[in-house]
Amino acid sequence: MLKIDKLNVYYGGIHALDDVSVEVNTGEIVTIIGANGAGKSTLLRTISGLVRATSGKVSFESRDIKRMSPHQVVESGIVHAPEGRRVFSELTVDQNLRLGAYLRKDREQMDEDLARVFQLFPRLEERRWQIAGTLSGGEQQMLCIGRALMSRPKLLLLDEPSMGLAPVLVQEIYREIEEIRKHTTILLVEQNAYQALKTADRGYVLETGRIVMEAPCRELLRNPEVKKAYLGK
Amino acid sequence: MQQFLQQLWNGLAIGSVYALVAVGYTLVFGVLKFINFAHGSVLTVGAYIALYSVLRNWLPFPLAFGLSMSLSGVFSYLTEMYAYRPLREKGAPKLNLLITSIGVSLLVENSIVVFVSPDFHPFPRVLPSAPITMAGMRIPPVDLLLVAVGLVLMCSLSYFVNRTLAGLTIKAVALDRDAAALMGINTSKTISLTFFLAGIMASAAGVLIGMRFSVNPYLGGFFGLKSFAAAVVGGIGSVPGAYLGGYLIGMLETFGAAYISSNYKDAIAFVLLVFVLLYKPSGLLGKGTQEKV
Ligand SMILES: Nc1ncnc2c1ncn2[C@@H]1O[C@H](COP(=O)(O)OP(=O)(O)O)[C@@H](O)[C@H]1O
Ligand SMILES: [Mg+2]
Repeated sequence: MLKIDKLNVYYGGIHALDDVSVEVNTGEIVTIIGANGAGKSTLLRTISGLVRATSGKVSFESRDIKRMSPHQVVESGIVHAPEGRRVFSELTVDQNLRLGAYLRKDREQMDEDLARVFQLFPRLEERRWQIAGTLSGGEQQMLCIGRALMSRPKLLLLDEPSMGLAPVLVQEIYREIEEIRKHTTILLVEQNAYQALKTADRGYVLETGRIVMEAPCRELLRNPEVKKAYLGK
Repeated sequence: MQQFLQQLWNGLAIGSVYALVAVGYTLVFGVLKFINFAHGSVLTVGAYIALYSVLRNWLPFPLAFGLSMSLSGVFSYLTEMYAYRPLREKGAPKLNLLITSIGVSLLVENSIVVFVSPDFHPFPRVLPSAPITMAGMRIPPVDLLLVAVGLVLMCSLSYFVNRTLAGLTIKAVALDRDAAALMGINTSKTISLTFFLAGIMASAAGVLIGMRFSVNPYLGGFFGLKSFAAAVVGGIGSVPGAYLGGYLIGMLETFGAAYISSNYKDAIAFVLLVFVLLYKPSGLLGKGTQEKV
């Protein structure tokens, strides 16, 4: 579905992604784990067109998307729930969700999706008319994911959904991710490697811009190096 | 009392002009985080389009007014497209945008002096000039039009920005441009739309102020600067703030001129600006963001 081949990204002199190749197949959850500053967010930002790659290929459903601008990437069926939630803080929950459905034309389907998002995150329905900036961190994360789902993506890019959340909330968010995967392919980026590896099918390990390992998550969870570096055991 | 009401009305009329122009500074600042000093020149262009359409008998006044608003909207859109966008795409610093906008405004002002005329033109008489007497106030018909058109445009703009999806994209881009792009919003289009709307509002003010005083190449510079003060007083980036700032400066100016001295009239806006910046740097309705001009 998504195929990234030998991608290189620079920020001025910083080589943020070095020959990165990643593949995501339809129906999978694939995770990329790595320390702070490894280049995880950069990879997602490059896929969604916010950052330009110097070389390499990014194709989605056999279409080259590397030169597309962000709104064209969304149109092609990829949506990115960015790191740090980035909800529109002065708008209501309802307005945030409507903006998530910006490219959708069909009103009826949109109402259906709104209902689905509210079913997934009942707390968003309770807070529907509240200003997004006044939500708690967990609720903002739900809004960020819910808003992304409103575009009915084929592929959802999730950047650190557990960041800054209490353990109970992390559990809750991950239960919802399990629910979302029934309809949507997911590329999940996490520093919280344990949660991500427990949830995903396949995983990549990113270290200072390079992919150093790729394996099914079951194997990564047992791998001594991964255990030592990312699982604190 | 009579005198007070009369001044209140005058303040409302001139305040409408400031508010209509101020909202353009605020909208553009919202999406691009820079002060478009060429915004005043859109007002001048609008006044000239209406003036010539009526003077040459091309169009009846209401159509000339409409034409002026749409063409000025397009003019404002084109300034962004050809002057600011190329700079933004090259990642130029905000200061370069600012200086470019000052350049655009000088270019427009001087082009009018050279290619059109340096004179002050009275606007042809399209409205009756005899004031209407209402509750003891004497109101020139143009003021009535100013207040009414101002209210209609301002309410429409607020409705558009807060209640329609296309309008919400302006707010979304202002709040977080990258996040807006991730929603599938074409942010360049939203920025174009913002300039277009700012142009429409400014041109309405330009035509009406041209009718009230005269049409001249310096119209935009003069009213633009005070409206900029109004936008900052209200809180740059806030639409209701721009309206509030506009009416407030309009009122203070007329009351200041009537009860203190008309010599200080043009200084009042800037005295208020200094006071507001001292006590509430983000403006009366502004959010406390620390964005440098
Ligand atoms: N906008 C930027 N400008 C310059 N350097 C950046 C920028 N964004 C990220 N970087 C650098 O690129 C590297 C990768 O960052 P990032 O992708 O955010 O990592 P991660 O998401 O894995 O924490 C880091 O060294 C970071 O400092
Ligand atoms: Mg990151």
